[in-house]
Amino acid sequence: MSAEMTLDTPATKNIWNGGRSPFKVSWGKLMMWYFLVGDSFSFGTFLITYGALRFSYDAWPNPNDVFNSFPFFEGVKLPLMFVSLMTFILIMSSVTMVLAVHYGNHDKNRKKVATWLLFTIIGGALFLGCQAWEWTHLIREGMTLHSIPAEFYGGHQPSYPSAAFGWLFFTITGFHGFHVLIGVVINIIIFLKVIQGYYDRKDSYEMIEKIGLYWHFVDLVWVFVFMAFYLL
Amino acid sequence: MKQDTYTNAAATTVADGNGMVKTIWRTFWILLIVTIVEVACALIYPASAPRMILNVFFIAMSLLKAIYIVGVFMHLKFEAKFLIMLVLLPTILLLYAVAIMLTEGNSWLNMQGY
Repeated sequence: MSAEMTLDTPATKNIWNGGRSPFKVSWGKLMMWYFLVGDSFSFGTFLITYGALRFSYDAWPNPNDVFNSFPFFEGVKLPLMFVSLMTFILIMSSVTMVLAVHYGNHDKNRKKVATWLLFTIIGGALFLGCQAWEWTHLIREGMTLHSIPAEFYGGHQPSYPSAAFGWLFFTITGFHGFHVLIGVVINIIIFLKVIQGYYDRKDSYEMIEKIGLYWHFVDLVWVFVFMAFYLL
Repeated sequence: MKQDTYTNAAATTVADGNGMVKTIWRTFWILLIVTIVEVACALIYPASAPRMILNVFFIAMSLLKAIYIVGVFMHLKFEAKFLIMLVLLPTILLLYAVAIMLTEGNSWLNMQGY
């Protein structure tokens, strides 16, 4: 009797009864979300380590004294201006990415998807270029993995200078930059497939949405990297 | 092919045509203005004033930006309830780790000189 009841109960009644996804997304998108939740723990661990080490020091380098240079403006102190430009580039590339996703999903408009994807690739490449310049500049100023120049503290070297600042900065921004690099490479591959009409033949632009999720996650991570290193 | 039907259904229910494009640009302006305000505060905040107020402001603004990026750009706001929970609930563990590691870091500072 009860067995018959169960069989007769329509699967639509309970979302966990099977037969459809309780998350109402495709397999590929769900796997991308799983990956991103996992990746948020990688970055979370990095930034929490940064926090713990920073709390263990009396004095910490002042962001306004560390990041105060701008290309072609040698000798002029412009605190946080270059990183603001980098942040702007990354936010902008997130917008171009989400527009590519939108025109793919909503209009299946190959031309628009290709154009906005191209802008996203340019934005990502610009960001990586900026990061390369910033690293080069900091290394030339005397920042290494285990030591930093006294100017980073605003001139007066504390009795316990941070040994880990270089390690933290280069590994965390490096890991983030590596993510951007991977994103640019995947975007280029997908861009080539878009202009060849691959997703038109497939009649689905969902792949753009999946790389879009990844790209926005990289932007999201930058919000917290920016906060930890440049603001707090 | 069957899996693809989910995505397109979700995308069309949210906004048709220009509605979503408008939302995207509005989000862009919010993110940009919040970032400009953050940088301005970092530059003009007097060194004598308590740093804690500024730090709380930075953390709140970063969380606001995160909500807009995840909610609108990553489309999570418009997804199924269980997907939202799947993504957000594990991050509670990160908050736990933040609390415990900052406490520990602070105690390392106090141990100096012993």
